[in-house]
Amino acid sequence: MVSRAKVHEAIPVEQPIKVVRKQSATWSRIRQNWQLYALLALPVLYLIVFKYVPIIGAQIAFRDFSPVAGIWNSPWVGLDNFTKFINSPQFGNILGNTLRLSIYSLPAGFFVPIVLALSLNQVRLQSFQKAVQLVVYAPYFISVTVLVGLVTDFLHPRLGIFAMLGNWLGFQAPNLMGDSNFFDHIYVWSGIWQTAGFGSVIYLAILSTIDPALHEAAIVDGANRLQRIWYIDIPGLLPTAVVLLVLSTGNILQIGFEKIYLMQNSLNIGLSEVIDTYVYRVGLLSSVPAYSYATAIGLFKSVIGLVLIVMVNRAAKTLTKQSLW
Amino acid sequence: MFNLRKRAKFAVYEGTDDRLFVIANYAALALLTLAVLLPLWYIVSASFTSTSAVLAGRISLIPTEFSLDGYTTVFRHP
Repeated sequence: MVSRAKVHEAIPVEQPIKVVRKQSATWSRIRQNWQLYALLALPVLYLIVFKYVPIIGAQIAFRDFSPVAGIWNSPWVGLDNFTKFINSPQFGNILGNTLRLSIYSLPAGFFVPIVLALSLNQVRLQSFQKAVQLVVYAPYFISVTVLVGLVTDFLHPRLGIFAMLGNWLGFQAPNLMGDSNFFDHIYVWSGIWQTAGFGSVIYLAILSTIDPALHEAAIVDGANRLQRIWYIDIPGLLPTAVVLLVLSTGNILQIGFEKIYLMQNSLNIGLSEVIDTYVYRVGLLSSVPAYSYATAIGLFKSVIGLVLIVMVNRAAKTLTKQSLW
Repeated sequence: MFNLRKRAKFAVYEGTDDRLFVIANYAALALLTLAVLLPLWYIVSASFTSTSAVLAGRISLIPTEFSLDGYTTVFRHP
């Protein structure tokens, strides 16, 4: 009893001392590892200067911005720019195009690198594996402009590869770039052609960390290759795959501006006008640039992206116990 | 690039399904490699072909009318 009372007495005396010591310990740790913090300072500074400071300028979405008055002195208009966008006749078309392209490209771009990595992982012949990897990485390093040029060349109605194939086999190849129905497929699959190899690198690296003992045990138990992929490789990839999927969902409305802009032509504009290209058109290209309007649309897109990433992250957390945060 | 595989060499009996899988896997990867390589090769070939031949559609995997005009233009450009 006596000793217990002593303990109770001791606690309130000890606690404030502890707190003080803890704080000084944090500071001394920071001082001890100041090199790490110095390294961190530059990226943080970059984020502040280039990502957070521009957010101050986003307020022009709620103002009627005029370059003469400047950001701070333009009159407030509330949500007028947003309602103008939502009520504009093109709103449905643009949002529909953006969502359609993202919903198509997101799963396709998600599964193909995983399948490629699983497939490459099954190859025993080192030289073959290296050769395939080298070739499928290569397109990642071509610029989007060159890629679109390449696609245009290949799908040329007279000189392209399908036209030649058509000549050879005796049928008339369709004008793929001119037909808006093919726009989605060309956009998505040329993107996969370009990035699937590079995207599979991370999955291959994870597959190499899977404990070989699992595979050996499965072989002893008589599992064939497909069963080993299904029960060992895929569960091993799942945590990373989920995080990457959540991250890419945040960009769902942010589909590659440059590529779509380069692929646009007067024949497919109805299906290829997305939020980003519309912002560029009304915000910068038009003779009377609508800065506030374009900013409001950009902000609208970012907010939807944020809501989506939070939702998908929560869904991933409950479904797979894996999440980004 | 990555040394991804350092597997112990042990003889494993492979069933018919596994053999089929391996063959299909190799075939699919080979096809994919061709699908990636041919367009890239085509571009390299086209860059060494004279403009008139490219415009006429006479491009093959080996330049039909060899010319360095494209490259000289690039370097002469201010």
